[in-house]
Amino acid sequence: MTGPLSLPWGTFAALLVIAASVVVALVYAAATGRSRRGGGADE
Amino acid sequence: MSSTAVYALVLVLYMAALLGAGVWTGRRTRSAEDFYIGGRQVGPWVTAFSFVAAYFSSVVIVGGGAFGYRFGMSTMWVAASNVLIGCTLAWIVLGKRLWEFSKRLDTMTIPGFIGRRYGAREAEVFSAVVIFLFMIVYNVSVLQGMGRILEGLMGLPYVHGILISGAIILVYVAFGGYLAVVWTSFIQAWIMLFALSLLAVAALAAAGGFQAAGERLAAMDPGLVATPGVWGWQGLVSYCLIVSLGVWGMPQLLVRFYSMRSARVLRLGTVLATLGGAMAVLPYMTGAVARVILPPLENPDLAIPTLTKTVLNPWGGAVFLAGVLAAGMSTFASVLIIVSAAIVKDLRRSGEAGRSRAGGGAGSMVARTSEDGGSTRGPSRDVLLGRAASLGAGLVSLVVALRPPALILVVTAFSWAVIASACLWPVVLGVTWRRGTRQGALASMVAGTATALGWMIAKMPLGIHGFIPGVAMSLIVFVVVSLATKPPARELVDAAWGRS
Repeated sequence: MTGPLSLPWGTFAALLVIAASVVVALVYAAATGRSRRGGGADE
Repeated sequence: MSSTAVYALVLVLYMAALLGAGVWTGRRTRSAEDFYIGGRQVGPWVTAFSFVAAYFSSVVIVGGGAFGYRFGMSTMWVAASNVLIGCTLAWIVLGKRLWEFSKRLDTMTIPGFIGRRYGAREAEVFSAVVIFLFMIVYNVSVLQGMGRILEGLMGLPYVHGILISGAIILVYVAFGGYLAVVWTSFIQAWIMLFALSLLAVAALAAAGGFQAAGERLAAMDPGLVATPGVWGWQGLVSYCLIVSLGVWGMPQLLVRFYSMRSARVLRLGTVLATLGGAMAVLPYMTGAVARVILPPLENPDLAIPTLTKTVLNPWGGAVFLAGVLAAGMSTFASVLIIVSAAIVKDLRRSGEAGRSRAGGGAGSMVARTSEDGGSTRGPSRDVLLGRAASLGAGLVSLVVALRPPALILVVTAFSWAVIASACLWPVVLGVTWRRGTRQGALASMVAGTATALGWMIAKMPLGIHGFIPGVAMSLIVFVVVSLATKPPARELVDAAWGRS
């Protein structure tokens, strides 16, 4: 019934999606920062 | 000090802070660009947190708690979709594109973007009319939410609650415009986060911790901790789409991207909006936990107000009340600016442009409909008109909310779906697909709106919310009609994407 951290599996997976969203946002921020440094101004 | 006095003291301080922000920002509002998009000078923190505050209205806090109470832990998926689709992906896919397009096309509004991107004044007017009508109705539901929570927690008569909160918002929006909206929303987002965290911690403590709450929920009904559990896949997936994908067509949220001072704002802003959006977990989880603390409630909408009274002292309750009001006020204020823009920048300008129309191709359509180009009206006049329009639109919502007719209550449940059905694909495909045509955009908007409304009139066949068929129809019609009609003129594409 319960998954990791004593959470129900469905709840754990939903929280994992939120954590993954934060990772995606961080990767996006890092990638756009790199491309801006390499490719010039963006404004 | 009595609990009523505590509530009143906290609220007076809170309202005074909002009015102060309105006065401060009003001094910086001189041009139409200031009034509608903050002069395109807003930074990442304010953009991101005002986006989140406008996203999560009091309806989400009280209603989200009610969903958590009814359906249990599967509602955490709603929060997950809010964060991933409604915040992170919306910022990544639409943020930079809308910022760039709005500058190239010289527009301050979503209808303005649609009109110029496709060279279709009809589409601009149509979307402005949909926004004008359904946003005013949407604001009625937001006001109602604030009135009910003031009544439930503070004992303030419903009418008094609506008049007080509505009047404060009208003053600071009319005076400070967009800057007042985003700065007050920035403050309100933090109040919401603090208030929701406070209630969640108190509720978990009262339930004996998260694990104990889960075990007690499972003992009541295993479906309350399973996914999709008692909700079922149909209900869960469709609700997730409504409250997350719907954001991609919501003008009051999309306009945040116009106001960024540079594309660099997106880097930090995307991370901040994602983190801020994660607060969506709190009302759903708290609502589910309320089920093991409170005796059975006939009306799940009372779960959060009742829980607040049960687990928080008067000071905590007052802070939570301020948080719920913050959610409602930030949404109401954001919508007022959008409705004002639809009246002053889209409908009025379109009327003027229509009268002076002298023929010509698609490219000249872009030039003719320019919001400021060729106008003899000074910006101060636009600001005055914007203030008058926001006051008028707010007063209409306020008066209707005092004694809403039954029809209005039905329509409010669909206003989000109708606006998204009209605007979502013309905006999303407008910044991602060059082949989209004027005919495709207009047909998509009409078909999406008609389908969402028709679904409402037919009382939701198959138990599916009107958002799903409305948005699906809008997408199909957009693609089919665009491919069946002549590609847009090179001039029009270059104006939107920039010359390659």
